[in-house]
Amino acid sequence: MLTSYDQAFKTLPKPSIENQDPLYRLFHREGTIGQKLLGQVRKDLADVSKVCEGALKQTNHLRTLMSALTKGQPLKTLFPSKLAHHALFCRHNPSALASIQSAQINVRR
Amino acid sequence: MSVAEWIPNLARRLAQLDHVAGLEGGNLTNIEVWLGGLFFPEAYVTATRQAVAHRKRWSLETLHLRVDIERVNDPGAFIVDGLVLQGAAWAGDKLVLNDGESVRLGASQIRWVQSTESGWPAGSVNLPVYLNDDRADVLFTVDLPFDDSVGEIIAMRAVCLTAGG
Repeated sequence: MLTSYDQAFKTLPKPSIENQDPLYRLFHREGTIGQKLLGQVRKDLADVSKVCEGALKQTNHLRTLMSALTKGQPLKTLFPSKLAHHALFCRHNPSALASIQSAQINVRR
Repeated sequence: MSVAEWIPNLARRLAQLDHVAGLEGGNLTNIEVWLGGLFFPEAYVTATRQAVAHRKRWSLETLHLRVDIERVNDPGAFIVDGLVLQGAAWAGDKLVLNDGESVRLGASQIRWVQSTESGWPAGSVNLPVYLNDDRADVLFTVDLPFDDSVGEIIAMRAVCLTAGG
């Protein structure tokens, strides 16, 4: 499902300094978050697949992820990287909202 | 929320953002927004407030939020979809009691009006709009008129709206 956004996912171009339209800036920001989150999820899934092929060593992060995937566990234990974690739980936990902005800067490469 | 639920949910969110980014003309006012599908729905509400304040040259502090349920007739309003009413139904432009089930509302509009009055008008009730079913995050509150037959019961029913996250 997510692969269909591989190349096609569009975000609004970065607003110019003159562009003060608050809605434009909002949707640009939303797109950036979505883009980063998608990249994170894709990378995690690709890594899991590499681990299965024996091309990559397991890390604690991947072990937790694979365990959650096979057991159908809630996503609390999934994608523990800062960005994904906060974006996921900002919906459930209002206090996470403030920290996502700083989390974006520290996003795992 | 498990992976099986989360992935389709993320895909729907991205689809909305992809759609918005692909719009011609760049008019972001009259698009229908799935509020609960935004990563920061509160920011959307704030952005609409700023947009109206800027457009009409009103001071931010004097603006008050109005939500017209299942009505989209104001060209200057912002349209949100996916609202769910819990514990009541919507009929004849009023809240009416039901058996407690949730009702999915049609597209509704958000407006900002200039008003110095605080409190809410008589015959209406102030309801919270939560992000989702767990009722943990209040996005904003909204004044909605209720039917006379409902009376005080509405306050005891824990009626609320959710943004359908």
